[in-house]
Amino acid sequence: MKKVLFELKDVWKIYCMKGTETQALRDISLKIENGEYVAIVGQSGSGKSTLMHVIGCLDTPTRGSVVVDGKEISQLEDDDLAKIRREKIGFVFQAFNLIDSLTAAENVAMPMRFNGYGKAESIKRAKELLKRVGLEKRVDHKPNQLSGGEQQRVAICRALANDPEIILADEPTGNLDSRSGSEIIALMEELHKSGKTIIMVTHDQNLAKRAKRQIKLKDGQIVNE
Amino acid sequence: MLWENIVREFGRHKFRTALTILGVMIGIFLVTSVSSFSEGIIYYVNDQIKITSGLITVHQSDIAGFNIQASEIDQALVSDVEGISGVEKVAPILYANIDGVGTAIGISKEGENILRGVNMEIEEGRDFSEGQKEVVAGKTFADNNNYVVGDLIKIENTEFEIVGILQKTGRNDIDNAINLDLPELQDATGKKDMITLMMIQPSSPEDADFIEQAINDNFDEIAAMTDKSIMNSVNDMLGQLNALTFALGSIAALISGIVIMNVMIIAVRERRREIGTMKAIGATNRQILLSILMESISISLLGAVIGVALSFGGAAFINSILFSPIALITPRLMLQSILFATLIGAVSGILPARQAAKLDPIESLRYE
Repeated sequence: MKKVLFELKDVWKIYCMKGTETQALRDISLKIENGEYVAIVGQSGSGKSTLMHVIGCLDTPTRGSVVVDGKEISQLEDDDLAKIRREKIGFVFQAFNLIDSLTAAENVAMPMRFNGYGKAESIKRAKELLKRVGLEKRVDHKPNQLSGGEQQRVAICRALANDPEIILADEPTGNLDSRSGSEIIALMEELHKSGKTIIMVTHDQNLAKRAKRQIKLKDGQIVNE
Repeated sequence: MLWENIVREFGRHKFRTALTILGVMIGIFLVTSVSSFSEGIIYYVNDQIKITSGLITVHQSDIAGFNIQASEIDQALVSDVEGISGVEKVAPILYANIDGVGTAIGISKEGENILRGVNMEIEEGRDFSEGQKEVVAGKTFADNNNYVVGDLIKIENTEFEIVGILQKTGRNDIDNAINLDLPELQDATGKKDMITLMMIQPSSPEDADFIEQAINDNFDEIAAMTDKSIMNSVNDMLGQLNALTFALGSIAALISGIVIMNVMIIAVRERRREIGTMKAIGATNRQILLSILMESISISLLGAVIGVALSFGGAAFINSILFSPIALITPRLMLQSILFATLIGAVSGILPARQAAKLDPIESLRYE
Protein backbone atom coordinates (compact mmCIF):
# COMPACT_ATOMS: atom_id res chain seq x y z
CA MET A 1 0.00 0.00 0.00
CA LYS A 2 1.24 3.43 -0.87
CA LYS A 3 1.98 5.95 1.82
CA VAL A 4 -0.50 8.82 2.12
CA LEU A 5 1.50 12.08 1.95
CA PHE A 6 -1.38 14.52 2.28
CA GLU A 7 -4.71 14.04 3.91
CA LEU A 8 -7.11 17.01 4.08
CA LYS A 9 -10.37 16.59 6.00
CA ASP A 10 -13.18 19.14 5.94
CA VAL A 11 -10.78 21.99 5.33
CA TRP A 12 -12.12 25.54 5.32
CA LYS A 13 -10.11 28.66 4.72
CA ILE A 14 -11.92 31.89 5.41
CA TYR A 15 -10.37 35.33 4.96
CA CYS A 16 -11.76 38.38 6.63
CA MET A 17 -10.95 41.55 4.77
CA LYS A 18 -12.47 44.89 5.75
CA GLY A 19 -15.42 43.14 7.30
CA THR A 20 -16.27 40.94 4.30
CA GLU A 21 -15.76 37.23 4.61
CA THR A 22 -14.23 35.33 1.71
CA GLN A 23 -14.50 31.57 1.75
CA ALA A 24 -11.41 30.60 -0.24
CA LEU A 25 -11.72 26.89 0.55
CA ARG A 26 -15.01 25.24 1.42
CA ASP A 27 -15.06 21.86 2.99
CA ILE A 28 -12.20 20.31 1.06
CA SER A 29 -11.30 16.67 1.70
CA LEU A 30 -8.67 14.84 -0.33
CA LYS A 31 -5.78 12.40 -0.14
CA ILE A 32 -2.56 12.45 -2.15
CA GLU A 33 -0.35 9.38 -2.08
CA ASN A 34 3.37 9.00 -2.52
CA GLY A 35 4.47 9.03 -6.17
CA GLU A 36 1.34 10.66 -7.57
CA TYR A 37 1.34 13.24 -10.36
CA VAL A 38 -1.51 15.63 -9.59
CA ALA A 39 -2.71 18.75 -11.34
CA ILE A 40 -4.81 21.24 -9.41
CA VAL A 41 -6.85 23.19 -11.93
CA GLY A 42 -9.39 25.97 -11.83
CA GLN A 43 -10.11 29.54 -12.84
CA SER A 44 -8.42 32.36 -11.02
CA GLY A 45 -10.27 32.90 -7.77
CA SER A 46 -11.27 29.25 -7.61
CA GLY A 47 -9.13 28.71 -4.53
CA LYS A 48 -6.41 26.67 -6.19
CA SER A 49 -3.61 28.92 -4.93
CA THR A 50 -5.01 28.80 -1.40
CA LEU A 51 -5.21 25.02 -1.63
CA MET A 52 -1.59 24.90 -2.74
CA HIS A 53 -0.55 27.14 0.15
CA VAL A 54 -2.31 24.85 2.62
CA ILE A 55 -0.82 21.71 1.06
CA GLY A 56 2.58 23.43 0.93
CA CYS A 57 2.44 24.24 4.64
CA LEU A 58 2.64 27.94 3.88
CA ASP A 59 -0.77 28.47 5.41
CA THR A 60 -2.92 26.75 7.99
CA PRO A 61 -6.66 26.15 7.54
CA THR A 62 -9.33 28.08 9.43
CA ARG A 63 -11.13 24.81 10.18
CA GLY A 64 -10.42 21.19 9.47
CA SER A 65 -7.42 18.92 9.57
CA VAL A 66 -4.34 18.77 7.34
CA VAL A 67 -2.01 15.82 7.81
CA VAL A 68 1.31 15.94 5.99
CA ASP A 69 3.32 12.71 6.01
CA GLY A 70 1.56 11.57 9.16
CA LYS A 71 1.80 14.91 10.97
CA GLU A 72 -1.12 17.18 11.76
CA ILE A 73 -0.03 20.67 10.73
CA SER A 74 -3.10 22.83 11.32
CA GLN A 75 -1.91 23.86 14.78
CA LEU A 76 1.83 24.14 14.11
CA GLU A 77 3.93 27.26 14.67
CA ASP A 78 5.70 29.11 11.85
CA ASP A 79 9.10 27.56 12.45
CA ASP A 80 7.76 23.99 12.60
CA LEU A 81 6.01 24.59 9.29
CA ALA A 82 9.26 25.97 7.87
CA LYS A 83 11.05 22.79 8.91
CA ILE A 84 8.47 20.61 7.13
CA ARG A 85 8.71 22.80 4.02
CA ARG A 86 12.46 22.60 3.75
CA GLU A 87 12.67 18.87 4.39
CA LYS A 88 9.66 17.44 2.61
CA ILE A 89 8.58 19.93 -0.03
CA GLY A 90 10.37 21.59 -2.95
CA PHE A 91 8.68 24.71 -4.31
CA VAL A 92 8.71 25.86 -7.93
CA PHE A 93 7.14 29.27 -8.55
CA GLN A 94 5.71 30.87 -11.65
CA ALA A 95 8.11 33.83 -11.41
CA PHE A 96 11.10 31.56 -10.54
CA ASN A 97 11.81 33.69 -7.41
CA LEU A 98 15.57 33.31 -7.46
CA ILE A 99 17.67 35.62 -5.30
CA ASP A 100 19.15 38.14 -7.74
CA SER A 101 22.35 38.76 -5.80
CA LEU A 102 23.29 35.08 -5.59
CA THR A 103 24.73 32.84 -8.31
CA ALA A 104 22.81 29.87 -9.68
CA ALA A 105 24.77 27.48 -7.46
CA GLU A 106 24.27 29.66 -4.38
CA ASN A 107 20.53 29.83 -5.07
CA VAL A 108 20.33 26.06 -5.32
CA ALA A 109 22.42 25.68 -2.16
CA MET A 110 20.17 27.94 -0.10
CA PRO A 111 17.67 25.35 1.23
CA MET A 112 20.61 23.19 2.33
CA ARG A 113 22.16 26.17 4.09
CA PHE A 114 18.85 26.72 5.93
CA ASN A 115 18.95 23.05 6.84
CA GLY A 116 22.29 23.52 8.55
CA TYR A 117 24.72 22.26 5.91
CA GLY A 118 28.04 24.04 5.40
CA LYS A 119 28.71 26.24 2.43
CA ALA A 120 31.21 23.99 0.62
CA GLU A 121 29.06 20.90 0.97
CA SER A 122 25.92 22.71 -0.20
CA ILE A 123 27.62 24.27 -3.20
CA LYS A 124 29.04 20.88 -4.22
CA ARG A 125 25.61 19.25 -4.29
CA ALA A 126 24.13 22.35 -5.96
CA LYS A 127 26.62 22.00 -8.80
CA GLU A 128 25.78 18.31 -9.20
CA LEU A 129 22.09 19.13 -9.41
CA LEU A 130 22.71 21.90 -11.95
CA LYS A 131 24.74 19.48 -14.02
CA ARG A 132 21.80 17.07 -14.08
CA VAL A 133 19.64 19.74 -15.76
CA GLY A 134 22.38 20.72 -18.20
CA LEU A 135 23.42 23.95 -16.52
CA GLU A 136 26.96 22.96 -15.50
CA LYS A 137 28.33 25.94 -17.42
CA ARG A 138 25.94 28.34 -15.73
CA VAL A 139 26.70 27.63 -12.06
CA ASP A 140 28.37 30.98 -11.43
CA HIS A 141 25.88 33.06 -13.39
CA LYS A 142 23.48 35.40 -11.68
CA PRO A 143 19.76 35.01 -12.45
CA ASN A 144 19.73 38.09 -14.69
CA GLN A 145 22.34 36.42 -16.91
CA LEU A 146 20.06 33.41 -17.49
CA SER A 147 17.07 32.90 -19.79
CA GLY A 148 13.64 32.25 -18.29
CA GLY A 149 13.88 28.53 -18.99
CA GLU A 150 17.30 28.37 -17.42
CA GLN A 151 16.09 30.27 -14.37
CA GLN A 152 13.22 27.84 -13.92
CA ARG A 153 15.62 24.89 -14.18
CA VAL A 154 17.76 26.52 -11.47
CA ALA A 155 14.58 26.88 -9.39
CA ILE A 156 13.78 23.18 -9.89
CA CYS A 157 17.29 22.29 -8.72
CA ARG A 158 16.70 24.47 -5.68
CA ALA A 159 13.45 22.58 -5.03
CA LEU A 160 15.44 19.33 -5.14
CA ALA A 161 18.26 20.54 -2.92
CA ASN A 162 17.15 18.82 0.28
CA ASP A 163 15.91 15.79 -1.67
CA PRO A 164 12.23 16.23 -0.73
CA GLU A 165 9.53 13.68 -1.57
CA ILE A 166 7.20 16.31 -2.95
CA ILE A 167 7.59 18.93 -5.68
CA LEU A 168 4.97 21.64 -5.50
CA ALA A 169 4.82 23.76 -8.64
CA ASP A 170 2.67 26.86 -9.04
CA GLU A 171 2.12 27.59 -12.76
CA PRO A 172 5.73 26.59 -13.48
CA THR A 173 5.42 27.37 -17.21
CA GLY A 174 3.35 30.52 -16.81
CA ASN A 175 6.23 32.92 -17.50
CA LEU A 176 7.89 30.82 -20.22
CA ASP A 177 7.64 30.50 -23.99
CA SER A 178 6.18 27.22 -25.20
CA ARG A 179 9.52 25.57 -25.94
CA SER A 180 11.04 26.34 -22.55
CA GLY A 181 7.71 25.38 -21.02
CA SER A 182 7.81 21.93 -22.61
CA GLU A 183 11.36 21.44 -21.37
CA ILE A 184 10.27 22.23 -17.85
CA ILE A 185 7.30 19.86 -18.09
CA ALA A 186 9.59 17.14 -19.43
CA LEU A 187 11.85 17.70 -16.47
CA MET A 188 8.94 17.46 -14.04
CA GLU A 189 7.77 14.22 -15.64
CA GLU A 190 11.27 12.83 -15.37
CA LEU A 191 11.24 13.66 -11.67
CA HIS A 192 7.88 11.93 -11.35
CA LYS A 193 9.31 8.80 -12.99
CA SER A 194 12.21 8.87 -10.54
CA GLY A 195 9.68 8.61 -7.72
CA LYS A 196 8.89 12.17 -6.69
CA THR A 197 5.36 13.22 -5.93
CA ILE A 198 4.45 16.09 -8.24
CA ILE A 199 1.66 18.52 -7.45
CA MET A 200 1.17 21.21 -10.06
CA VAL A 201 -1.20 24.15 -9.96
CA THR A 202 -2.19 25.32 -13.44
CA HIS A 203 -4.99 26.79 -15.47
CA ASP A 204 -3.52 25.30 -18.68
CA GLN A 205 -5.78 22.42 -19.72
CA ASN A 206 -3.14 20.81 -21.97
CA LEU A 207 -0.70 20.69 -19.09
CA ALA A 208 -3.29 19.38 -16.68
CA LYS A 209 -4.24 16.53 -19.04
CA ARG A 210 -0.72 15.13 -18.85
CA ALA A 211 -1.04 14.61 -15.11
CA LYS A 212 -2.25 11.23 -13.86
CA ARG A 213 -4.90 12.91 -11.73
CA GLN A 214 -6.73 16.21 -11.87
CA ILE A 215 -8.35 18.04 -9.00
CA LYS A 216 -10.68 20.68 -10.32
CA LEU A 217 -11.71 23.56 -8.09
CA LYS A 218 -14.54 25.99 -8.40
CA ASP A 219 -15.57 28.58 -5.81
CA GLY A 220 -13.40 26.93 -3.20
CA GLN A 221 -14.85 23.46 -3.67
CA ILE A 222 -13.66 20.36 -5.49
CA VAL A 223 -16.02 19.89 -8.42
CA ASN A 224 -14.63 16.71 -9.92
CA GLU A 225 -11.68 14.44 -9.85
CA MET B 1 23.91 31.88 8.27
CA LEU B 2 23.99 33.05 4.69
CA TRP B 3 27.07 35.26 4.86
CA GLU B 4 27.43 35.09 1.10
CA ASN B 5 24.07 36.78 0.83
CA ILE B 6 24.99 39.56 3.27
CA VAL B 7 28.22 40.28 1.40
CA ARG B 8 26.38 40.31 -1.93
CA GLU B 9 23.76 42.67 -0.55
CA PHE B 10 26.51 45.13 0.37
CA GLY B 11 27.79 44.85 -3.17
CA ARG B 12 24.37 45.45 -4.65
CA HIS B 13 24.01 48.83 -2.98
CA LYS B 14 27.61 49.96 -2.65
CA PHE B 15 26.85 53.65 -2.38
CA ARG B 16 24.05 53.25 0.13
CA THR B 17 26.12 50.87 2.25
CA ALA B 18 29.14 53.17 2.07
CA LEU B 19 27.10 56.15 3.23
CA THR B 20 25.69 54.22 6.15
CA ILE B 21 29.15 53.00 7.12
CA LEU B 22 30.34 56.60 6.87
CA GLY B 23 27.63 57.68 9.33
CA VAL B 24 28.66 55.09 11.90
CA MET B 25 32.31 55.84 11.27
CA ILE B 26 31.92 59.55 12.08
CA GLY B 27 30.03 58.76 15.28
CA ILE B 28 32.53 56.20 16.51
CA PHE B 29 35.44 58.43 15.47
CA LEU B 30 34.09 61.31 17.59
CA VAL B 31 33.30 59.20 20.62
CA THR B 32 36.62 57.36 20.55
CA SER B 33 38.63 60.53 20.07
CA VAL B 34 36.94 62.27 22.98
CA SER B 35 37.18 59.17 25.16
CA SER B 36 40.88 58.93 24.39
CA PHE B 37 41.29 62.09 26.46
CA SER B 38 39.76 60.69 29.64
CA GLU B 39 41.38 57.32 28.96
CA GLY B 40 44.77 59.07 28.82
CA ILE B 41 44.08 60.90 32.06
CA ILE B 42 43.18 57.68 33.87
CA TYR B 43 46.36 56.11 32.56
CA TYR B 44 48.48 59.13 33.52
CA VAL B 45 46.99 59.46 36.98
CA ASN B 46 47.37 55.76 37.76
CA ASP B 47 51.02 56.11 36.86
CA GLN B 48 51.41 59.23 38.90
CA ILE B 49 49.78 57.67 41.92
CA LYS B 50 52.26 54.81 41.83
CA ILE B 51 55.12 57.26 42.32
CA THR B 52 53.47 59.56 44.85
CA SER B 53 51.71 56.74 46.64
CA GLY B 54 51.32 57.54 50.33
CA LEU B 55 52.93 60.96 49.88
CA ILE B 56 51.40 64.41 50.26
CA THR B 57 52.01 66.94 47.51
CA VAL B 58 52.32 70.61 48.49
CA HIS B 59 52.10 73.31 45.82
CA GLN B 60 51.37 77.02 45.44
CA SER B 61 47.80 77.47 46.65
CA ASP B 62 46.27 79.00 43.55
CA ILE B 63 47.89 76.57 41.09
CA ALA B 64 46.48 73.14 40.54
CA GLY B 65 45.76 70.34 38.13
CA PHE B 66 48.07 69.73 35.22
CA ASN B 67 49.67 73.12 35.59
CA ILE B 68 51.40 72.10 38.79
CA GLN B 69 54.88 72.71 37.35
CA ALA B 70 54.08 76.45 37.27
CA SER B 71 53.81 76.48 41.05
CA GLU B 72 56.33 78.58 43.02
CA ILE B 73 56.96 78.29 46.75
CA ASP B 74 59.41 79.98 49.07
CA GLN B 75 61.81 77.31 50.30
CA ALA B 76 61.69 78.82 53.80
CA LEU B 77 58.27 77.21 54.20
CA VAL B 78 59.88 73.75 54.18
CA SER B 79 61.02 74.07 57.78
CA ASP B 80 57.54 75.30 58.81
CA VAL B 81 56.01 72.22 57.22
CA GLU B 82 58.60 69.98 58.86
CA GLY B 83 57.30 71.30 62.20
CA ILE B 84 53.81 69.86 61.69
CA SER B 85 53.29 66.78 63.82
CA GLY B 86 53.19 63.56 61.86
CA VAL B 87 55.55 64.82 59.15
CA GLU B 88 58.46 62.41 58.76
CA LYS B 89 60.36 63.89 55.82
CA VAL B 90 59.92 66.73 53.36
CA ALA B 91 61.42 66.69 49.88
CA PRO B 92 61.60 70.09 48.17
CA ILE B 93 61.56 69.85 44.37
CA LEU B 94 62.23 72.47 41.70
CA TYR B 95 61.15 72.05 38.11
CA ALA B 96 62.85 74.25 35.58
CA ASN B 97 62.56 74.50 31.82
CA ILE B 98 66.05 74.94 30.46
CA ASP B 99 66.63 76.27 26.95
CA GLY B 100 68.21 73.62 24.78
CA VAL B 101 67.78 70.93 27.43
CA GLY B 102 64.18 70.62 28.51
CA THR B 103 62.93 69.79 31.94
CA ALA B 104 65.40 69.79 34.80
CA ILE B 105 64.36 68.47 38.20
CA GLY B 106 66.24 69.76 41.18
CA ILE B 107 65.85 67.52 44.20
CA SER B 108 67.63 67.02 47.49
CA LYS B 109 69.33 63.76 48.35
CA GLU B 110 66.73 63.15 51.01
CA GLY B 111 63.95 63.89 48.53
CA GLU B 112 65.37 61.34 46.18
CA ASN B 113 65.15 58.72 48.88
CA ILE B 114 61.45 59.40 49.27
CA LEU B 115 60.70 59.20 45.56
CA ARG B 116 63.13 56.45 44.65
CA GLY B 117 61.07 54.10 46.77
CA VAL B 118 59.25 53.49 43.50
CA ASN B 119 60.99 52.20 40.39
CA MET B 120 63.43 54.93 39.53
CA GLU B 121 66.66 52.98 39.45
CA ILE B 122 69.95 53.98 37.91
CA GLU B 123 70.70 51.91 34.84
CA GLU B 124 74.16 53.15 34.10
CA GLY B 125 76.76 55.14 36.05
CA ARG B 126 75.88 56.53 39.48
CA ASP B 127 73.69 59.09 41.20
CA PHE B 128 74.68 62.76 41.39
CA SER B 129 76.56 63.90 44.51
CA GLU B 130 75.56 66.82 46.68
CA GLY B 131 77.17 70.16 45.85
CA GLN B 132 78.59 68.85 42.56
CA LYS B 133 77.93 69.95 38.97
CA GLU B 134 76.49 66.54 38.13
CA VAL B 135 73.21 65.34 36.61
CA VAL B 136 71.40 62.04 36.16
CA ALA B 137 69.59 61.85 32.80
CA GLY B 138 66.26 60.19 32.06
CA LYS B 139 66.43 57.32 29.57
CA THR B 140 64.47 58.94 26.73
CA PHE B 141 66.32 62.20 27.18
CA ALA B 142 69.70 60.46 26.94
CA ASP B 143 68.64 58.31 23.96
CA ASN B 144 67.13 61.19 22.00
CA ASN B 145 70.20 63.36 22.44
CA ASN B 146 72.75 60.54 22.16
CA TYR B 147 74.15 61.31 25.59
CA VAL B 148 76.28 58.77 27.41
CA VAL B 149 77.74 58.83 30.90
CA GLY B 150 80.60 61.32 30.98
CA ASP B 151 79.10 63.80 28.48
CA LEU B 152 78.80 67.43 29.41
CA ILE B 153 75.57 69.38 29.35
CA LYS B 154 74.98 73.13 29.68
CA ILE B 155 72.35 74.52 32.05
CA GLU B 156 72.04 78.25 31.39
CA ASN B 157 75.76 79.11 31.56
CA THR B 158 77.03 76.34 33.80
CA GLU B 159 78.45 73.03 32.57
CA PHE B 160 77.31 69.82 34.26
CA GLU B 161 78.52 66.27 33.78
CA ILE B 162 76.15 63.41 33.12
CA VAL B 163 77.16 60.85 35.75
CA GLY B 164 74.27 58.44 35.41
CA ILE B 165 71.29 57.40 33.31
CA LEU B 166 67.99 56.25 34.85
CA GLN B 167 66.12 53.14 33.86
CA LYS B 168 63.11 53.79 31.67
CA THR B 169 60.03 54.41 33.87
CA GLY B 170 57.45 54.78 31.09
CA ARG B 171 56.59 58.24 32.39
CA ASN B 172 57.39 60.96 29.94
CA ASP B 173 57.97 63.63 32.61
CA ILE B 174 60.72 61.55 34.23
CA ASP B 175 62.21 59.77 31.21
CA ASN B 176 62.55 63.01 29.30
CA ALA B 177 64.15 65.08 32.06
CA ILE B 178 67.41 65.44 33.95
CA ASN B 179 67.82 65.26 37.74
CA LEU B 180 70.34 67.18 39.75
CA ASP B 181 71.04 68.51 43.22
CA LEU B 182 68.47 71.15 44.19
CA PRO B 183 70.89 73.94 45.25
CA GLU B 184 72.84 73.48 42.02
CA LEU B 185 69.72 73.95 39.88
CA GLN B 186 68.67 76.95 41.98
CA ASP B 187 72.11 78.52 41.46
CA ALA B 188 72.23 77.79 37.74
CA THR B 189 68.75 79.19 37.08
CA GLY B 190 68.95 82.08 39.54
CA LYS B 191 65.93 80.79 41.46
CA LYS B 192 67.51 81.07 44.86
CA ASP B 193 65.34 79.73 47.70
CA MET B 194 62.50 78.93 45.26
CA ILE B 195 60.96 75.51 44.82
CA THR B 196 58.05 74.16 42.78
CA LEU B 197 56.61 71.73 45.27
CA MET B 198 57.23 69.67 48.35
CA MET B 199 56.61 65.97 48.75
CA ILE B 200 55.84 65.02 52.34
CA GLN B 201 56.27 61.56 53.76
CA PRO B 202 54.04 61.10 56.81
CA SER B 203 55.23 59.11 59.81
CA SER B 204 52.36 56.74 59.24
CA PRO B 205 49.72 56.65 56.47
CA GLU B 206 46.98 57.57 59.00
CA ASP B 207 48.63 60.98 59.51
CA ALA B 208 48.20 61.99 55.86
CA ASP B 209 44.71 63.47 56.18
CA PHE B 210 45.67 65.42 59.30
CA ILE B 211 48.79 66.89 57.65
CA GLU B 212 46.80 67.86 54.55
CA GLN B 213 44.24 69.59 56.77
CA ALA B 214 46.86 71.35 58.87
CA ILE B 215 48.64 72.81 55.83
CA ASN B 216 45.45 73.91 54.12
CA ASP B 217 44.18 75.58 57.33
CA ASN B 218 47.37 77.31 58.47
CA PHE B 219 49.12 78.43 55.28
CA ASP B 220 47.66 80.85 52.74
CA GLU B 221 50.33 80.55 50.12
CA ILE B 222 50.50 76.74 49.83
CA ALA B 223 48.00 73.92 49.46
CA ALA B 224 48.38 70.21 50.19
CA MET B 225 46.84 67.17 48.54
CA THR B 226 47.09 63.56 49.59
CA ASP B 227 47.16 61.05 46.73
CA LYS B 228 43.62 60.24 47.77
CA SER B 229 42.43 63.80 47.25
CA ILE B 230 44.35 63.99 43.96
CA MET B 231 42.37 60.95 42.92
CA ASN B 232 39.15 62.61 44.03
CA SER B 233 39.79 65.81 42.11
CA VAL B 234 40.78 63.82 39.04
CA ASN B 235 37.62 61.77 39.39
CA ASP B 236 35.58 64.98 39.56
CA MET B 237 37.15 66.15 36.35
CA LEU B 238 36.69 62.76 34.74
CA GLY B 239 33.06 62.83 35.78
CA GLN B 240 32.53 65.98 33.78
CA LEU B 241 34.48 64.59 30.85
CA ASN B 242 32.50 61.39 30.99
CA ALA B 243 29.27 63.37 30.92
CA LEU B 244 30.50 65.03 27.74
CA THR B 245 31.54 61.68 26.29
CA PHE B 246 28.22 60.19 27.26
CA ALA B 247 26.31 63.03 25.60
CA LEU B 248 28.39 62.74 22.44
CA GLY B 249 28.10 58.97 22.51
CA SER B 250 24.33 59.11 22.83
CA ILE B 251 24.03 61.50 19.92
CA ALA B 252 26.36 59.38 17.81
CA ALA B 253 24.45 56.23 18.73
CA LEU B 254 21.11 57.83 18.01
CA ILE B 255 22.14 59.20 14.63
CA SER B 256 23.96 56.12 13.39
CA GLY B 257 21.22 53.95 14.83
CA ILE B 258 18.55 55.85 12.92
CA VAL B 259 20.60 55.75 9.72
CA ILE B 260 21.15 52.01 9.98
CA MET B 261 17.54 51.33 10.88
CA ASN B 262 16.34 53.41 7.95
CA VAL B 263 18.58 51.61 5.49
CA MET B 264 17.63 48.21 6.87
CA ILE B 265 13.90 48.97 6.72
CA ILE B 266 14.31 49.99 3.08
CA ALA B 267 16.38 46.87 2.42
CA VAL B 268 13.76 44.60 3.99
CA ARG B 269 11.01 46.28 1.98
CA GLU B 270 12.98 45.89 -1.24
CA ARG B 271 13.68 42.25 -0.51
CA ARG B 272 10.16 41.30 0.56
CA ARG B 273 9.81 38.83 -2.26
CA GLU B 274 13.24 37.31 -1.64
CA ILE B 275 12.58 37.02 2.07
CA GLY B 276 9.19 35.46 1.30
CA THR B 277 10.87 33.00 -1.05
CA MET B 278 13.46 32.11 1.57
CA LYS B 279 10.70 31.44 4.08
CA ALA B 280 8.74 29.40 1.54
CA ILE B 281 11.72 27.16 0.85
CA GLY B 282 12.29 26.59 4.53
CA ALA B 283 14.03 29.47 6.32
CA THR B 284 12.74 29.80 9.87
CA ASN B 285 11.71 33.16 11.30
CA ARG B 286 14.81 33.03 13.46
CA GLN B 287 17.11 32.48 10.49
CA ILE B 288 15.61 35.49 8.71
CA LEU B 289 15.79 37.58 11.88
CA LEU B 290 19.42 36.68 12.45
CA SER B 291 20.49 37.33 8.89
CA ILE B 292 19.00 40.85 8.90
CA LEU B 293 20.44 41.48 12.35
CA MET B 294 23.86 40.27 11.19
CA GLU B 295 23.68 42.55 8.19
CA SER B 296 22.97 45.57 10.36
CA ILE B 297 25.69 44.61 12.86
CA SER B 298 28.17 44.12 10.01
CA ILE B 299 27.49 47.62 8.68
CA SER B 300 27.95 49.06 12.15
CA LEU B 301 31.10 47.04 12.83
CA LEU B 302 32.71 48.07 9.56
CA GLY B 303 32.02 51.71 10.37
CA ALA B 304 33.39 51.22 13.88
CA VAL B 305 36.64 49.63 12.75
CA ILE B 306 37.34 52.50 10.36
CA GLY B 307 36.21 55.05 12.97
CA VAL B 308 38.53 53.59 15.61
CA ALA B 309 41.43 53.56 13.15
CA LEU B 310 40.81 57.22 12.34
CA SER B 311 40.50 58.16 16.02
CA PHE B 312 44.25 57.59 16.39
CA GLY B 313 44.48 60.71 14.23
CA GLY B 314 41.84 62.37 16.42
CA ALA B 315 43.84 61.63 19.56
CA ALA B 316 47.01 62.94 17.90
CA PHE B 317 45.11 66.12 17.06
CA ILE B 318 43.90 66.55 20.65
CA ASN B 319 47.48 66.05 21.85
CA SER B 320 48.77 68.61 19.38
CA ILE B 321 46.58 71.32 20.94
CA LEU B 322 47.37 70.33 24.54
CA PHE B 323 50.48 71.29 26.45
CA SER B 324 51.24 67.64 27.07
CA PRO B 325 50.25 64.46 25.24
CA ILE B 326 47.34 63.20 27.32
CA ALA B 327 44.95 61.58 24.82
CA LEU B 328 45.59 57.87 24.56
CA ILE B 329 43.87 55.09 22.65
CA THR B 330 44.23 51.92 24.66
CA PRO B 331 43.17 48.43 23.53
CA ARG B 332 40.44 48.68 26.16
CA LEU B 333 39.07 51.84 24.54
CA MET B 334 39.21 50.27 21.08
CA LEU B 335 37.31 47.25 22.30
CA GLN B 336 34.79 49.49 24.05
CA SER B 337 34.10 51.48 20.88
CA ILE B 338 33.70 48.36 18.79
CA LEU B 339 31.35 46.74 21.29
CA PHE B 340 29.41 49.99 21.44
CA ALA B 341 28.99 49.91 17.65
CA THR B 342 27.95 46.26 17.75
CA LEU B 343 25.27 47.22 20.22
CA ILE B 344 24.10 50.10 18.02
CA GLY B 345 23.95 47.74 15.03
CA ALA B 346 22.04 45.12 16.99
CA VAL B 347 19.54 47.52 18.51
CA SER B 348 18.84 49.36 15.27
CA GLY B 349 18.58 46.07 13.40
CA ILE B 350 15.94 44.59 15.70
CA LEU B 351 12.95 46.42 14.25
CA PRO B 352 13.72 45.73 10.56
CA ALA B 353 14.77 42.17 11.40
CA ARG B 354 11.49 41.54 13.18
CA GLN B 355 9.59 43.04 10.27
CA ALA B 356 11.42 40.67 7.96
CA ALA B 357 10.86 37.65 10.19
CA LYS B 358 7.15 38.39 10.48
CA LEU B 359 6.63 38.74 6.73
CA ASP B 360 3.93 36.37 5.56
CA PRO B 361 5.52 34.27 2.81
CA ILE B 362 2.23 34.11 0.87
CA GLU B 363 1.80 37.89 0.98
CA SER B 364 5.39 38.58 0.00
CA LEU B 365 5.35 36.02 -2.82
CA ARG B 366 2.34 37.76 -4.24
CA TYR B 367 4.15 41.10 -4.00
CA GLU B 368 5.72 42.07 -7.31
